[in-house]
Amino acid sequence: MKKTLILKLLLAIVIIAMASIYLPEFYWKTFPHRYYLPRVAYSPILNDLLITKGDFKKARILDLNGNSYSSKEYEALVPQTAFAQLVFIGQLPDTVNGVHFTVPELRKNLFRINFESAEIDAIQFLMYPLIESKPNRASLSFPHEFFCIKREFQVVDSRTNLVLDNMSSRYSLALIDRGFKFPAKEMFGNPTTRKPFDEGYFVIDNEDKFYHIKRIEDEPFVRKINLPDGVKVVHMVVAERDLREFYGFFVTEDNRLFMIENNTYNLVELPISDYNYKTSLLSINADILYRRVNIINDNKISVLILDRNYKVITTFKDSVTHKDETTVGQVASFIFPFTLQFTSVNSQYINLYPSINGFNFIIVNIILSGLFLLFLIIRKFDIKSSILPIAIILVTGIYGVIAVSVLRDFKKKNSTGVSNE
Amino acid sequence: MLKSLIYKEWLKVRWTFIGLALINFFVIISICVSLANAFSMVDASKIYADTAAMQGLFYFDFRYIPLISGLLLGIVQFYPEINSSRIKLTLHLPMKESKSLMSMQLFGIGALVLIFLVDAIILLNFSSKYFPSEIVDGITITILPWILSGLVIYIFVTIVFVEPSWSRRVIIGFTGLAFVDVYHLGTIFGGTIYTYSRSWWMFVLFLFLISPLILWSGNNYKRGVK
Repeated sequence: MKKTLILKLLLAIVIIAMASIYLPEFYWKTFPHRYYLPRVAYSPILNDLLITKGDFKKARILDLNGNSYSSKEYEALVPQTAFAQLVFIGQLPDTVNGVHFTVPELRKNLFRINFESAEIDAIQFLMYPLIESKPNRASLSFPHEFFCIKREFQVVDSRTNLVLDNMSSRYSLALIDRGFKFPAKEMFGNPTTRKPFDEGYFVIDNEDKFYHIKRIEDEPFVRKINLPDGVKVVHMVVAERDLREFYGFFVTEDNRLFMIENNTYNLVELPISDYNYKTSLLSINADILYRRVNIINDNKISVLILDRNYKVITTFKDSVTHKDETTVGQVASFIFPFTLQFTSVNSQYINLYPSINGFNFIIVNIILSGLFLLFLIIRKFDIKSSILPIAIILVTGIYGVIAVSVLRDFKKKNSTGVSNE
Repeated sequence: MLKSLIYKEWLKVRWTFIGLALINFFVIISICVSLANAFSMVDASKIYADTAAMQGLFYFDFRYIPLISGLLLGIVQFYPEINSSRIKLTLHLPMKESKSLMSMQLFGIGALVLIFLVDAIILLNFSSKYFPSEIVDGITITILPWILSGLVIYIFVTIVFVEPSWSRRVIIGFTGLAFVDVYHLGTIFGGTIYTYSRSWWMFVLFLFLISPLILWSGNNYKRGVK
């Protein structure tokens, strides 16, 4: 008797778990939540923000006074990003705000750097290529040596699959010399040769100190980066760009954003707010005049416009209706008591990610258990022996109904324990 | 008694078992040969770079092989039992039904584990000739859920076949499909790559949770035929 109870519970758990993964997924696929956050640009001509609202079919471009612009007018107002089109129609201004506009310079300054939560809690490379940063050739070449920093700096030759002891100990010693504590916690870099030059890797050691490691003329280059007190690097985007203004940007445990200046290793903090590295999407959009930092938290956007010296020009905040506040979301909060997921948009690691959206579901759960009770009474089943299915539906709602329909754990009154097969 | 039961199972599935083993080893060996060829033709560093980034997996052909093996073995082993209700005889052996059902299922799981173990040993040993242990560990964690999914589908096939009621079979069948799917979340082409490296133990544990459910099906069957 006890054994069958365990089996029943086990089966119920399996069915409920699967239903709570796939029913909500199917629901949201059928009724997708489409939303468009405003897109923000700063016009050097108006010296003000331009906001693009709505989807791509019906976009409206407005300034903060409510004047609307056609897309052609808009392009003329943001020559620093729309230069390709302006060159095409021959209307690119020579200078804007005293900055000389030439296409190569504009191109060089135009880039975007993203910090996505899923890339921060991400799969690490198993091994990294040890790219030569100063090759005696026109372009970078892909090396045969791959490395990882565990108990020591270990270099493996990919052709022979053998550890290169000499090279490993040279790099290990160079690291120990600068006070590096093995193993490395995380490494950042671009393990590719499809870039103009190579800046190697930025490495967090076991004591959260930050290092820059490169291979220069086959010798280790190690430089410790001085971090402000209490700052712990969480993620860095290394950007080898011809601009050579910086090595890259990094975010910290306390959700601050820094830039590491090229050559000097000076840290420049960008005054962001509303950022959480575990859930937000941060992007740095650069052009020849400005740095625009977008921070998106679900349905909220927060924009920071900085000049080239990283001083704040202006900020902008807006939000659209949250998924849970829409009718579809409200209905979902009644139907689904909880949602189970094995993947998360904020991580590349498969794990259990349960979530609960309010307590509206209790109403539906009570109604469902009531209907079930009614069914038992009408079909003249013994209610006392059906406590388990009632409890299952009361707790897990719609998922429980599926489990109970499989269990069919109800008995006729005065019967000898034989179910209604 | 147990010995004869296992012998009976063996007689039933031996040709399927041998066939599946051959298919498995053929796929694994073809992967190994391709890898050896790649190392002789392409720059080793390119293969390292791809594999170290967990992209362009050279062993991707293996992905659905355990799944197909589990499905086929389950069908071959349990379809004859249900067809013309032969399982009635099994359940009337002088042995507890739970014991005979569990041993039938464990026999199948054992057969699959044997095949998959050989697969994994060949693949990992061969890989470690070319790759350092960091990369071989990465391969292990990637193929583990694929292998487990073969066992999951086998277990669900046994549950569905023993279960007498069609409506239950359908729901349990869908649950089984969903369950198999959570073992294949790792690589989605054109999307984010996910890894089981933090939670693989959970997916091993799930096997122990679903395996005894065959007893519940057996219980239903017994009550149904009585």
